[in-house]
Amino acid sequence: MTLSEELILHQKINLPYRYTAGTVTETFLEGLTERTIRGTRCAACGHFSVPARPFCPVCSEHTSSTEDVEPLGHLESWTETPHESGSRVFALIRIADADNVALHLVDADPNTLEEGMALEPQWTPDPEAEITAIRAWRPIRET
Amino acid sequence: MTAENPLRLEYVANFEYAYAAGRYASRFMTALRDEAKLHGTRCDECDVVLVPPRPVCGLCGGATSDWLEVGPTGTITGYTVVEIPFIDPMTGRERPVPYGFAFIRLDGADTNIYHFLEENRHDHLEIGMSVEAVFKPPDERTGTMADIVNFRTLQEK
Amino acid sequence: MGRAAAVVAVGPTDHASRRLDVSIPEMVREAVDRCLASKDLSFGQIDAIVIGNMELFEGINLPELWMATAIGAAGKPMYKLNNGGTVGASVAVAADHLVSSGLYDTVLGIGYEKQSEGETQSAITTVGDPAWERAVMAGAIGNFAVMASTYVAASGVTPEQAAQVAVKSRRNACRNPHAHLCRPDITVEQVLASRVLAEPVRLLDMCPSSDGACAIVVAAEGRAEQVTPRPAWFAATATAHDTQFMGDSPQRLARMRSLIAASDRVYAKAGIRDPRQDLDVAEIYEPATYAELAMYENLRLCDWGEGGALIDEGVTEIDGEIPVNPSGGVLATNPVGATALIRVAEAALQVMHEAGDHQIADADIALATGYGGNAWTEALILRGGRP
Repeated sequence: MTLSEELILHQKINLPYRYTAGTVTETFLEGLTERTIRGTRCAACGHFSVPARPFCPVCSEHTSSTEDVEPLGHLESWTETPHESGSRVFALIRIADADNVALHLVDADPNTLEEGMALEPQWTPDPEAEITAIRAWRPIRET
Repeated sequence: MTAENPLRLEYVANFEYAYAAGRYASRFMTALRDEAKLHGTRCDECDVVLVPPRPVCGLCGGATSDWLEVGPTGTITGYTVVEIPFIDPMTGRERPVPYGFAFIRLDGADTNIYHFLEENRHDHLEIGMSVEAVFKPPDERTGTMADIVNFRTLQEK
Repeated sequence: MGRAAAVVAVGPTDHASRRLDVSIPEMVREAVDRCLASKDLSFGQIDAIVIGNMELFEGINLPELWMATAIGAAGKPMYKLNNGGTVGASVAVAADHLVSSGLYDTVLGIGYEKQSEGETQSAITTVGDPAWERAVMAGAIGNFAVMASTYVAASGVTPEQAAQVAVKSRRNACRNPHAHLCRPDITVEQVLASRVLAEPVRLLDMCPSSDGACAIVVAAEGRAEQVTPRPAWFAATATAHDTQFMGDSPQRLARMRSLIAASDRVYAKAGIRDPRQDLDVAEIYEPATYAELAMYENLRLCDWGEGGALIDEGVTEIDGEIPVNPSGGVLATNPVGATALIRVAEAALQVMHEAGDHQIADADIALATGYGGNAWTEALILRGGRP
């Protein structure tokens, strides 16, 4: 066989999707539209998760109904990543008295951050926003 | 967000790929694009002519070595008229219905390819009808199976 | 050969065109909870998990990681399969192999699909080779209809005979509380009057698009009898492929090379000489009425060309000589990634004598099949009583 010109086929896979959130996630997202953060407690082992989850991340049992929590976070750890519109700080934040930590953005100069620092949510002005309702977390300024 | 109207998160996934066609498809597609000619390979073991051309026979597993020109005429070996639309993921749009769709055995080949038919009236089609490939004009051919617009029937049912 | 393994517990979900009440992990959990609860089992007794679906149908990559919490998989071995309509049967076969090899004593097998969340017809098109097939595919239904036309030409089956399969399925489904499409009053005339999707296939000739999941527990000899008094033993399993291009043989449906190879192998292993006589019940993966008739022939339930006669004579009805799909089958319930596992689960329930209103009396030997991409077949023989 003689070698011929090799072709490259440029193709797309373009598909629409619609994901059902489910009751627990829906209740959590609904809370965000009302500026409320919600968690769930495992009915079996007591593990408290924020954000709310349908199943316990430790023992996989069903969780009990969602609870509203204090909109207060504590900084566990963070990293600075370059971004075209300035660097971003991604952080692991323990929300209220959760047993887990959540990944979110922190809006602050990384040089001023300290482990255990208290954080508050910075809400977006968009009243329709769900998962994007918290734009970022920021250090609570002492008054 | 209510029990009657649960939250559904809607989005479109749009992925772009660049597939290497490989030696066999490249040779076939280049001849299709440049000369409007179709080719198959012959199995050294069982002698069948395979379209798409390939290095190993799909029927007996034997090696192939000869390339042969096949078509552009052929025979309908199975057919339908599709009346249910679906989104073609290559374009993100629905292909208009109805359209004829068939197995075609190109003259000189022993295997069949799926392709579209110009005829979209089911009662005007039958197995065994002679057809001929309708090629796009040379300046519109890019080296894909879509360089064949469809197959036109050469006889009345 | 290894040690004997058996299905000991089965859990279906409820099925619907759209399960808007649950997310995917919650839907899968429904099947797992029902499966474990049916035999008083818990996550602590599960050694490993096998899970399968079709990723592009929901557009979620590595879904097994994303739902590990929901299925009790954290810290355990989990194997994911993704091989088309066959996948659910492959999950069962993999679970059997993991147990019979001695690697694990108790394995949870899961299949699921939430078809309402994506575009199945479109996603299926991406199985086509990018160079040869993607630009000239017509979805699962269009491609199948071309194959059906060749089967009609080869066998002479009529639309009326195909319609009888549709009627049998939707009536049987009314005996199965977990089936999606129960139509107690459906008639041949209604099937023939339903709209054409792609000749010769009409709406009621085709399987539905379902949201649902299925779970099974497979346990080793010794353990299995502790879980349930009458386990469904894996007597034989076989996997076979056909070649890539549908058009290599226009008789892809009339002569299904992979189904013939896989079923012949399990018949030989299980000592089945005359499947019509020796099998008590079959749960087969029939995506459309014409496929079921063709499969009768390929499975040697009748001679070549006699598929239509078999349904005419009522041989495969729930009270017939060899009942096929007493659960309603794929034509009644089709969450793709779960569909072939439902075949295995239903075959298991039959030989466990737990199939409820669609139980075939004294069923002892059952056939289950999975079929995917027109190329890949799994065949299984399950046997009640002793291994």
